[in-house]
Amino acid sequence: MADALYDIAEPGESKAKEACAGRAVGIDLGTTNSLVAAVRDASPVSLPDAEGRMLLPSAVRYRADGAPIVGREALAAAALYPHDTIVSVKRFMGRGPKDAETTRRFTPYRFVEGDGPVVKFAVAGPREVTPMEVSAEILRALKVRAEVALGGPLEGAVITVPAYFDDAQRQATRDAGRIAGLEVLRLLNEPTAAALAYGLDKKSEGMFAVYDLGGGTFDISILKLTGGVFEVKSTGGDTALGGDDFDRALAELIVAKTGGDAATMSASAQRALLDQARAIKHQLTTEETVLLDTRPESGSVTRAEFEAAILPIVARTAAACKRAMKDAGIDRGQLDGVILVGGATRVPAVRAFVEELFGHEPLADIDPDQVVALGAAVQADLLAGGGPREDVLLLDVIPLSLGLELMGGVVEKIIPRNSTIPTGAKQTFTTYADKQTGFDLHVVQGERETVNECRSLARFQLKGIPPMAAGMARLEVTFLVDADGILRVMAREQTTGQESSVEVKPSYGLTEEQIEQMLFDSYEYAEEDLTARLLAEARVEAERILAALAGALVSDGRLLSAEERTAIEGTMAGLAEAVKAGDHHAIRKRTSELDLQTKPFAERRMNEGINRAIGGHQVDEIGDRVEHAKGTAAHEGPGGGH
Amino acid sequence: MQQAGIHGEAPVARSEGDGEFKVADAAIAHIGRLTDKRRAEGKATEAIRIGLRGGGCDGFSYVFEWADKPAGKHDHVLEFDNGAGGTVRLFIDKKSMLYLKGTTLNFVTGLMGHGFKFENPNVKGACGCGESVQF
Amino acid sequence: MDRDHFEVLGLARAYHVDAADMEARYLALQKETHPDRFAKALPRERMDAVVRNTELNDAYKVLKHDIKRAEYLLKLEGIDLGEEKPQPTTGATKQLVVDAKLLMEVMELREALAEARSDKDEPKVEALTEDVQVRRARALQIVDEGFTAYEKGDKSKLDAIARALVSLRYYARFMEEVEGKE
Repeated sequence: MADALYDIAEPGESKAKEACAGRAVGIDLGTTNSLVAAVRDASPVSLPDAEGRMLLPSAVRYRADGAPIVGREALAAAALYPHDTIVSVKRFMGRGPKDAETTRRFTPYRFVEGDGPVVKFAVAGPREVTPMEVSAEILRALKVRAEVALGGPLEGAVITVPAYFDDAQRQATRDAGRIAGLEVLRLLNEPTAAALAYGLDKKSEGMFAVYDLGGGTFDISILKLTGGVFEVKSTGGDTALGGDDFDRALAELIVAKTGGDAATMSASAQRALLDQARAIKHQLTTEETVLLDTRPESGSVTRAEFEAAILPIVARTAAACKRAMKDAGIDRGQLDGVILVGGATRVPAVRAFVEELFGHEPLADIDPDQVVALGAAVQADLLAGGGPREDVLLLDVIPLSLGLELMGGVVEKIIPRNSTIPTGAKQTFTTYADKQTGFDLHVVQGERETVNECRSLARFQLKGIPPMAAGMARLEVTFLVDADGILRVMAREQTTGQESSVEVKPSYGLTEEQIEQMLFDSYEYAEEDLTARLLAEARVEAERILAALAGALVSDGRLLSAEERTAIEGTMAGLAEAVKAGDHHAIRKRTSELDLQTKPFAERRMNEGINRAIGGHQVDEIGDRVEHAKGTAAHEGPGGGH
Repeated sequence: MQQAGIHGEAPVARSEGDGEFKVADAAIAHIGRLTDKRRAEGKATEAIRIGLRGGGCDGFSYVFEWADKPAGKHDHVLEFDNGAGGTVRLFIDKKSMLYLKGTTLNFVTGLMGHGFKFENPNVKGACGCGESVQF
Repeated sequence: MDRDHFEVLGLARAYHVDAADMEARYLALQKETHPDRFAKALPRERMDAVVRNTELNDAYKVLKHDIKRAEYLLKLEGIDLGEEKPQPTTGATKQLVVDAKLLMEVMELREALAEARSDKDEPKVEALTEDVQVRRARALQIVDEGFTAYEKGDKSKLDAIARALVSLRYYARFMEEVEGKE
C-alpha cells in the first residue's frame, strides 16, 4: 500500500516523482508488421509475444461479438473475412473517403459512404471503424504484450511514423495512441529511429542517408551525426509507396499469366491473390524461379520478371533521394554511409538500386524489420526511463512546408520544409471590410503553389474581432510546430490585445469529442484488458515458481519424504492445470497453496546450507512471490473489486 | 496515525459511482480549508480531479489536482456534503474508477507530516518512493 | 524580451562568422533547450523550453545561411528587403525600391535564356549561366566588403549591400530557371 501523502496539485501538474524510473517502450506501427521494444540492461530489445515471435502482423479482424482479433490469427483468416479484416491500415491514416487510397484496385474493403472527413470501414458487428480505431487495436495488443514482458503498466510509448507523414497522418497516429490508452511520449520519424539504433550501436560520426522502404511507405532522410547529436538535415519520401505495391505489381503479373480478370474477382479471391503474391516475392529473394502452382504446367514467375515489374516503383524513390541530398546541401560523395530499413529492402533489386544511386554499399546488419522499434525504444528510454543522457539528442525536421491559402487559391508558405522542429512563425493579417469581425484561414501542407495541389489540414475561423474600419485590425497568427511535427495555430488581435477564438475544423482528422467517444468505447474492453493482464501476470509468476520448484526437486528432492513429494507434485500439477485453464483467481489460489505446502521444504533447504548462494536464493524468491500473490488474493476476497 | 471516521456513508452523489469512492471527514474538512484559501486567491475551486495514469516505477501514479475544466461525459461526478452548507466535488474518469473502487481518500497527520492519503484496497504494491502504485 | 538572432546564439552582430563556432554554440544550446530534455518537467516548464528552443531554431536557420544572415543584418539596421513573395500584411517598415537598371538587366538575361532554350542552343545557355555566375560573384563581393566596413563601424555601405542582395535574389531565380524548378 502506498504510504505516500499527497497535496492537491494545480491543474495538469500531478506527476510521479522523478526518482521513479518508468516503463517506456518504442512501438513501430508498421504497414505490414508492428512491434514493440524496450531498453533492458542498457540496450534495446524487441519484446516477443507468448510464442516468442517479435513481429505482430498489422491485421485486425472484427467479429460480430467479442473483442477484435489482432495479428497472425486475423491475417490467416483474411481471405475468409475480407471485409472484416483490415490489413495495411496505415495507408488510410489521416486520409479521407475521396482519397486515392480508398479507390485503388485490390482493396477488398467496404467503405462507409459519406462526406465525413475520415475514412470508415464497415465491418462485422455491424460497426463502422476509423483507421485510428483499427490502429489502436494493434497498439493495444502491443501494449498488453509489453506490460506482460515488463511486469506492469506502461509509463508511455514512443510511436514511430514515416518521416514523410503529413500533419493529418501524424495527428491520426497520435490519436490512435490515445484511443489505445497509451501516453504518447513522442512521435518519432522512422529513419531517425533507425539512425539512432545504428549510431548508438556503432558510435558512428558523419553524414548518413537512411533509405526506408516499408510495406506501404517510403522515406529518405539525410542525417549528420556529431558527438551524439543526430541532426536530420533533410527528409523526403512518398507515403503511398512500398512493398505492398510490389505485391500488387506481382499480382497483376500473375493475373496476366493465368488469364484471370482482377476486375471481376471476389474480395476473397483478391485477398488470396495478394497473399500468394507476397509469398512468391519472399521466395524470389533467394530463388530464381517460383512456380505459380504445384503443377509445372501452371506457369512460373522468374526473378527477372518480378524485377522488371517493380522497377518503375523502385525508380520512383530516386527523385526523392536526389531532392533530399540537394536540400541537405550535399552530393553523394559527401555521404559516409547508407542505412537500409524496412522489409522491402530485402528485395535484391532494391539493394542494387540503392548501391547504384548512392555509390555506397548499404548497411543492413541490424534486422531491417526491427531497427526502427529498437531506435524508438532508445528514445522512449531517454524521455521516460533512464532520463536524459547528456550525450544523445535528436534534432528532427518538418517534412513538408506549411502554408496558408491566399486570395485566388495561391499558397503562401509560412514554414518551409526541412525546418528543424520545434519551430514557429508569425504572420500578420488585416481585415478587408469595414466592421469585419471574423476571418477565415485555410492551412495547407505541401510544396505546390496552388491550394488544390496541397493537402488541406484545417480551416480556422477567427471570431470576435472588434468592429473597426477595414485594414485597421491587425491579427497576429502564430504557427507552432511541436517536436512531434504537429502544428498548432493561435491568433491575437493586436490593437486591442484581444485573443480571438479559434475554431478548428480538421480536414481529415477527428474532433476532440470523437476521440473522447472512442476512448469511451474502448472502456468496453478495459475490464477485459485488466483481466487479461492479471491473468498474464499470474501465469508468468506461476510458471516461474513451477520452474524453480522443479529445479529444486531435482537438486534437493532427497530432503522430502515420498509422501511430501507426491503431495507437492500433485499441487504443482493442479497449478499447471490452472495456468492452462486461464482463470487468474484460480492460479493465485493454487500458487498460495503451493507456497504453504512447500514452506517446510524451503526451510530444510535453507538449513542444509547447501547451495546457499544459488539454491537458497531461489527458494527465498519463491517465498516472496507467493507471499505477494497471497496478498493480492486476500484483496480479491468478498470486498475485492475485480 | 490518527484517522478520522469515514464520511462516505451517505454521500450526496449523483452518479453511478455512488458509494464506491469515499472521502473521510478529515479530508473533507481539509479540502474545505484549501478551498477557502484558493477562493481568496482567485484560483479554480470548482472540483478536484482524481484518477490514475501510467507512470512511475510501479506503473501507475495518482492524478490528484484541482480541475480547471468542467467534467467530461466519461467522468463520474461525486458530490459530498461538507457539513457546513458547501459541497466537495470530485471528478473521476470511468477507467480510473475500475482501479479506485473501494478507495477512501483520507487526510492524516503523523510522523511523516500531514497530507492526503489514498487507502486503496486494490493496490498490491508500491515502489520505494510511494508515488507510484501497482495493481 | 524578444532577443535578436545574434543574441540568441551569443554572437556579435557581424556578417563574417566562424561557421564551426556557430554550429558548436547551436548544438550546445540544443542540449540545453530541446524539449526532450524536459520530457518529465511540469507543463509550463516544457512550454518554456519549447519557446526557447523554437527561438534557437529560428535564429540558426537564418544565421547559418550567408545571404539570409546578410539580409537579417540589414533588417536590424532598418533596411527591410521584405520576403521574396508579397506579404499579406500592411507592413510599416521601409520597403526597398528595386532600381530600374537591375530590372532591365535581369529581364534581358531571362529573355536571352528563353531564346537560347527555344533554339536548343546549349553553348549559349552555358555562356549565359557563366555570365550570371560572374555577376553573382561580383555582388557577393560587394556584400562581403560592405560588411567588412560595417564590422569596423562604418555604416555607409549598407545601401550598396542592399542593392547587391536584391540583385542576388534575381540571379538565384535565374539559376533556378536554368536548373529547371521542381
